[in-house]
This record gives sequence, C-alpha cells and structure tokens, in this order.
Amino acid sequence: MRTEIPLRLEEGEEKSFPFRSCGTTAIIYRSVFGVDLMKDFSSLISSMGDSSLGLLMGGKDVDIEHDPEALRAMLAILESGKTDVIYRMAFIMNKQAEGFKMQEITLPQYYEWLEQFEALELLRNAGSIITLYAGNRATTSEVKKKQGVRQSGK
Amino acid sequence: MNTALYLLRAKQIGLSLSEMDAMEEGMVLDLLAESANDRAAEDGAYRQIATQQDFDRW
Repeated sequence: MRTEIPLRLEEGEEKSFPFRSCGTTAIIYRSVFGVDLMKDFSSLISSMGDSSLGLLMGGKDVDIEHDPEALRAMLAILESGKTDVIYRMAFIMNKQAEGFKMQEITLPQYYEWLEQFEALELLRNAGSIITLYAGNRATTSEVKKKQGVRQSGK
Repeated sequence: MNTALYLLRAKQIGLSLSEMDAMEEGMVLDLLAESANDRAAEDGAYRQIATQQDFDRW
C-alpha cells in the first residue's frame, strides 16, 4: 500500500511525503531498530482505546487544536508511551516509498529524518500512518484446522 | 506471530525478500495460511477415525 501524507516541517512549510508498507516493512524495522514491529504494533493498538483508534483511523483530518476528541486520542498515544513506534514505522515506510533497499536504511538516518518535522507533526498524522500499516496486514485466508485427527460425526 | 517467525515461515515456503517486498504483509500471511492448510491435508490432519456408531452401522 502506498500513500502521500503532507507533513509540516520545522521551518513551518508543508511538504508531501510518500509512504509505502509491504511484506518487508517489519523485517526492515527489525533490522534497523533491533525491535519487533509486529509486537510493537499489537501493543500500540491494544494500549489505545477503541474510541481513540476509531477516531484516528476514521479517515478524517484530526484537528487537535479545535477537536477535544482528537486531542484525547493523541493524548492516549502519548500516555501509551508508544510514540516511538509511530515515528519508526513512518520512517521505514517513507524510506521504502523512496526506493531505499534494506541495507541502505540506517539508524543515524532516522534521527536526522525525525529532526526535520515540527514537534508533534507525526503524531498529528498517526491515524494515516497506523491505517497504512494496518491496511497492509489485511488477510483473506485462514488456517482451517489445528493439527490432529477428527472423530467421525463431530 | 513475531517478525522472526514471519520471516522463517516465509523462507520455508520459498519466498525471497524481493518477492516479499513486492507483496503486502497480508498476502504473505495468506500464503503461509494456505501452505499450512496444504501441509495439514498432506499429513492426514483431516482424516476421520471411525466411532463405535460407525462400526455398529457396518
């Protein structure tokens, strides 16, 4: 999945950044940060309430200056202590969209990349970032049966 | 599932990193699920064991 998200830079101007999530996003995240995106993402989602998650992933613009619900949703992320997960996901997905290979994405680049944004800008766009990665994980198949034998008639 | 297990299972069904890069994570997970279903069928996980009722009917 691919999308463009306009983000406000430190100097105040806005720039559109491409983001792409795919089958190697979690692998690159692990390789760059040494931590597990699949675990981090589950933990982020479960630490946010359903209402915060629903609001952030609702596809609407999240206006924390004027919408108290949006502000509460963002506070939920801040209180969860999982803001790093959103920053890291955004970084990896941006580099993937820009065509960087796994070995070309490094930790020092991450800190440099993060510094260009206005404070809280990535959190303001957390909904789009979470939606992009979550959408990439959608499945249609399921494991039909557990291993083992079945008795007739059951 | 964690990332290490995801990568291990993907490699076990023969996916390369460049193939995974061209697909969504959900598609890789679908392939893993279908592969597990195929293996379960081959291993006889779906075979039925006759119950006493089956023997009585016979």
